[in-house]
Order: sequence, then structure tokens, then C-alpha cells
Amino acid sequence: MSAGDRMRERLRLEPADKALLMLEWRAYRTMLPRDAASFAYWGLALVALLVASLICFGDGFSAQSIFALGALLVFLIAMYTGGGMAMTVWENGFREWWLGLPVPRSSLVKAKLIAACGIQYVAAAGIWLVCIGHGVVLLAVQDGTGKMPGGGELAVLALAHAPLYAALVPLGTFAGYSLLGMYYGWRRWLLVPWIVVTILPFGLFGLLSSLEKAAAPYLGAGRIVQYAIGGALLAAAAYRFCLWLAVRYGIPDLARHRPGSFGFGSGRRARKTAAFESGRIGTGFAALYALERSRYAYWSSLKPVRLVYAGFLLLAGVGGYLGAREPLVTLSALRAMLVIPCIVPSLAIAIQTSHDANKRRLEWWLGLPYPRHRLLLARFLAVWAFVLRASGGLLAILAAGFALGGSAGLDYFSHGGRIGSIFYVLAAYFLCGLFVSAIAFLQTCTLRSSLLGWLYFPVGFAAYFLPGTAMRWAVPETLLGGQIGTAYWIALAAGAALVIAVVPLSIRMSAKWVHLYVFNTTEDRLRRRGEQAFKFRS
Amino acid sequence: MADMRNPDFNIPNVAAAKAPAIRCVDVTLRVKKKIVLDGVSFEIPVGSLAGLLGPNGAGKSSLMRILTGMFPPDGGRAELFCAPAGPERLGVLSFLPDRGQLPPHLGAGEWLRLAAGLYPDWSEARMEELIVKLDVDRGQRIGSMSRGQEARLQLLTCLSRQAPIIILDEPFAGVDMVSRESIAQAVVGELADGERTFLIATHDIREMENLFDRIVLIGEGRMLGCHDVETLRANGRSVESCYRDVFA
Repeated sequence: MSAGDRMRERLRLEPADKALLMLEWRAYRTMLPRDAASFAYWGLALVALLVASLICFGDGFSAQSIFALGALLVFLIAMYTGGGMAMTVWENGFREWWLGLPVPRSSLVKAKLIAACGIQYVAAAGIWLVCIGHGVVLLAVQDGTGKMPGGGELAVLALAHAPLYAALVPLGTFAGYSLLGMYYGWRRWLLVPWIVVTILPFGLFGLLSSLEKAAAPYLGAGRIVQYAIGGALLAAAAYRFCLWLAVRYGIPDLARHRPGSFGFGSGRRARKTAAFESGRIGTGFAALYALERSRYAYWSSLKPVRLVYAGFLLLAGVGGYLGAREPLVTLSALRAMLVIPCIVPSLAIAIQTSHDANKRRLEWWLGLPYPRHRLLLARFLAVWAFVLRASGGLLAILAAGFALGGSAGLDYFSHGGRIGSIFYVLAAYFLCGLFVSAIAFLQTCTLRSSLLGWLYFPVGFAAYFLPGTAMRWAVPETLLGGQIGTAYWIALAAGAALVIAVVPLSIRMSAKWVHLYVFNTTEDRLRRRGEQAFKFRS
Repeated sequence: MADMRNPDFNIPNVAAAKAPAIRCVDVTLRVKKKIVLDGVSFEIPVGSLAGLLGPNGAGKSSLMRILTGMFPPDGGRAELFCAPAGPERLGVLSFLPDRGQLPPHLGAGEWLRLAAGLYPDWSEARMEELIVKLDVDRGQRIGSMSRGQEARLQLLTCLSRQAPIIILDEPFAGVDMVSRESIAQAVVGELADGERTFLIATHDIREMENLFDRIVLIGEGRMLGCHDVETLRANGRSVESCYRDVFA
């Protein structure tokens, strides 16, 4: 048998595999442009993304930065979509039918992975086109001082990034889908690196958005192709790992899983948290807050989470100790790390309510005899209290390490009002985080109409990158370690005033439409999408 | 009992209320262009145990969600003690959602302690009584409970409140026979004071037929009948035969 025959044999699909692939693909097919309306939506979304990209990255960003940011976006979308799909399998009503299909377990998982990659390639192509569009628009309007290269160079850059994007799609999808095998047993430890991989890329936005052509010898077209090859190899490894984990552990765990009980099946007895033991629950809003806080108290009490947090504390202490010799570098690193606590609350806000609706917990929550804005406020305060406590602990250990690291660091910040720069950085990121959380609340309004949904999507998605990109202007490198001018403090006060106005407003708006989640569970959406697909076919 | 912390959620004096506990007038609801409820009208007097009956997809859960203020109707009026249903009226009713779930990370005891703080009309004495009656283990984590155990805990939460209206959406769905019996007995026990009003959506007509004093029949979002059970019996019919006549 020749090599070609062997390859054809390997790629040949059994009829059952084909049917399985069609089954999985059907779940995505309705998202593709298929009629005039959906073509219009797709066109509108791409134009909105291009406009958002031109507004956010139009001034002073190199072409390399734009394509690199696009690559990061492709990876993040693939990873989050893969992870999201893996999560829905556990609670999907079709789960037991799916498990009962008479095909090898690996075929079940392979079909899901291939179909997920298919739709991600469409999204990646859209992002790639937006990056090219961005370059072309800037090339057309820039004067001699612009950062865009000539048309030929832009074309080479675009062509070089195409295989990179193509490699990042399966890499992100398989990495995200590996969640399928991490629900029970020792595999739950893998959630720790998985969560780190899902959140860390947000921290890279600051770095990638400031790439200069001259200062970036690693971003030539040849290098990008090498990265693409590296990405493809990593994707192959991620595929094998994901398949092994899902087939060996995920599928047997799925068969044992009871919907709605994720992660709670192993310990039958309730673990009491400090607040419950001491009886400090309170009544009214205090009880509402205690209910929301209990979620974080539970997760924080899990051994893997505590160990990981202890690891981060150790890293912060050592980092602070070593950083005392390079105070400015420490401050820069702190700035990059602050992106993460800015994003976590908004992710929690964006996910929690729809997750509760999927788990049929939302009706109990909405049925509590409190105005809805108070329900949301309790949720908002609980997530921020958790994030501030966790990051406050890390900052305290970092500061302690810094103080122990030698007098050079302390001396540096004791001169010329430099200590003020630390407070400025912390306050600016805190306000940014609050603003991003407020935007996340507005997601509820998208349930009102699909047009609002399409309009919100680029805005909501762009908001996650505010801490990594827009904060470059609010907290420029030149400001670190210097004296903060009055103009900056005034701008900070204006930002605080904006946040004080926007947060209650967005909570009120969200409260108006939050009940619509009841009609928009994943199951409801799939059913509606199925109805649409059927109408389209017939 | 009035809640001083939430003046918007005051509970009316039920004894003084002569108006029906629940009134729907021409209630209409559309979800994404689909008509889910189409001009539904009925009344439930104070102290009744009413059954809301109809096949799957009839609109029972949607109607209950309107009554519990989850969302407003697109047309018509839904009233509780003559005031429009809405989130600000959640203090007058206790709602058990269909296949709803409680936070799985909490133990049953933790949840009940939180509920005592969350619901201004919570009765500790009733809760203690129901814990025994419904055989709820306070130390068990909710996420590890069987469906029947969690259904009993949810019913306990509903009935430990002193709200004058109790709305139960499919309380027997997916529940074993022993749990069904204890749930039905708990509901019977709650009827003793004659002041609370129950509206129960269920498919298990046989389980509840002897308890209902009124039935509301809806199908495909439309009102198909509202009958006094005594009158039905006086005419030689049962709830089950009436249901079959309408839907078979």
C-alpha cells in the first residue's frame, strides 16, 4: 500500500462517523450565513468589528500588532467556544442518547472536535479579513509618519498569518474541549492550568498591542510561519491529549454524572464555611449577599484552589523580593497582572445568570422577594469582594516581599512622590474593572432583540480588552515611578464619576430584562435554532 | 406579617381580603412571535386549592411565571389580591418552579438558614415541623441529593413561608412514589388553616384529584374551562373524566 493509499485510508470516514459529524455540524450550521438576513448580520458584525478595531487600535499600532492581536483573539474565541461546548455536554438533555450511540467513544469525541473546528475556521477567517481591512484602511489614509507598511509588505504579513490562524483554531478548540475530561476525580486538578491558560492571554494584550516593527525581529513573515508550524504541532499534541482524556475519563464520568450536581457528587456531607458556622448570615440584603458569597466561599475552600492560591502567594512574595532591585520593572509587571482581576468579575457576571438559567436555578433566585436590582447588586458586590480579597492578599505578600528585598526598592518609592504612582495604578485598574463589569451587565439587554445582540457582541467583547489596551493611555509607561501630575488625578476622578454613574445604570438596565434568561437557556436556544434550520430546509 | 426592611413587599391582610386571591383577565403572552397564552381568564378564591391542568406545552408554566412576576404579560391583567402581579408582589406568594434547582454547593441546613434570612415571612417552627415530616437531612449537600430529596427540600422551603399564596409548578415531576406521598401529605397539612391559597400545576391528576376544589384547564395557550370540583362531582363527573373530555 502506497503512502497516498494509507493517508486516504486514514482519512476515510465510516458511514456512522459521517452521520455523527453531520449531527454535530448541524448544531453550528445555522450560525453560518445562509440567507439574506444572516448574510446581513455577518456583514454587519464584521463591519462593526472593523470599526471597533479602527477606533481602539487605529492610532499608533503597528500592522504586526494588529495581526498578533487578531491571532490572540482567534485563540481565545476557539478556547472559550471549545470550553463552553464541553460544559454544555454535561448538562445537555441529549447526553444519554448521545452516549448510547453504537459507535466507538473516540468517534463521538472526534466528531465534536471536528465540527467545532469547522465553525471556528469561519470565525478566524472573519477576524483575518478584519485585520486585513484594518491595514488597508490605515494604509489608505496614513501620511508619511504612519506605522502601516506598504501594500506588498501588508500582503506578505497577511499571508504569513493565515497558517498561524489556521493552527491556532484547532489548538484553542482542543485545549478548550479538554475540559470534557476534567469534571471528576484527580482530573479536577487539571482545571487549574486550564483556567490559567484561559485567563493569561488577556494579560498578553498589553504586550502585543505595543509591538514595534523595528523592535520586533521575531515578527517577520518567516518567523510567523515557523510559529504556525509550532502551533500545528502543539495542536496535534492537544488533540491527542484531549481525545485521551475525554475517552479514558470524560465519557465514563459523563455516564455517571447527574445534571446540576457538577463537582458536588463526591462529598455527600456539606462543608461548613466560617460564616455559616459562626451564624453571621443576617437578614434581608445581608442574607442575599451571604447567598452570593457562599458560592465563592465554597470554591475557595476546595483544596486544589487553596493550594494554587498558596502557590500564587509564594510567587508574589518571591517576585516582590527579587523585584526590590528593579522597582520600575516590578511596577510594570504589576500593571500587566492587574488586567486579570479587572476581567474576572465581568466574566463571572456574564456567565453566572445564564448558567443559573441553564441549571434551572434562576427561577428560585428571581422568586426571592427583593427588587431585581438588589439581586444583581448582591451578585456584583459578592464577586468584587472575592476578587478584591484574593488580589489584596497577593498584593500584600508582594509588598512584604518587596520590603524584605532590600532598601533600594523602598528608597526608590520614598522619593519624589513616586509612591503616588502605585496608588494611581491600583485605582485606575480598579475603576477600569468596575467599568468592564458594568458593560457585562448590559449583556442582559441583548436578550431583548437579536439586533441588539449583534450590536452588543463586538462592544462586549472589546470591553474585555480595555484593561490591556485602553489602559495604555490611562497609565502610560512614562508615568510609572514618576510623580503623577494633577491632570492625571483629575482624569482619575472623572473616571470615578463615570463609573459611579454607569454601574448603577447598567444594573438597573440589566434588572429590567434579566427575567428573559428564563426563556433563553441553551436548550431553548438550540430548540429555536433547530426550528429555524428546519424552516430553512423545508 | 409585614416586612419592615422591604416596604415594597408587604403582605396583605388575607382575612380582610374579600377579593379573589388570584385573578387573570385576558392574559396574553408571546415568546419570539409564538403565542404562548391567548386570552386566559379565571379567578381563584382565597383558601382554595386549585389545579392548573393541561398537557405539555399548554402554557401552564408560563402562566405561573407571569403570576410570580418573572415577566409581565403582553396583554391582559394578572392580579394577586387585586394588585397586579410583578416582582414587587413576591412577598405574597411562595413559588416552587418546575424542575428548579437550589444552589448545589450548599448543605440543606445552610440553605435553610439563608432562606430564613432571605424570606421575611419565614417560620422557624413550621420549618422544624416540615423537616421531620418531609425527612430532610440538614447535613447533606444539595448537589448530592436525589431528585426526590431535593424536591422535598424545595417544597419545605416553599411551605416554611407564611405567604398567603402557594404556587407549585409540577411538584411531582421526576419524584419517587414515597416522596410524592410525603409531598401530598405536606400540602394537605398546610390546608388546615383554610386561609392559604394553592395553585398547583400537575400531570398527576390522580394523586391530587381528591384535594382540588377548583380546576383550571388550559390547552395550547387557551382557556378551556374553569370548574368547581364539587359541582363536577354533583353532576357525576370526576376531575379525571373532565380532563379526558377536554383533552382526549
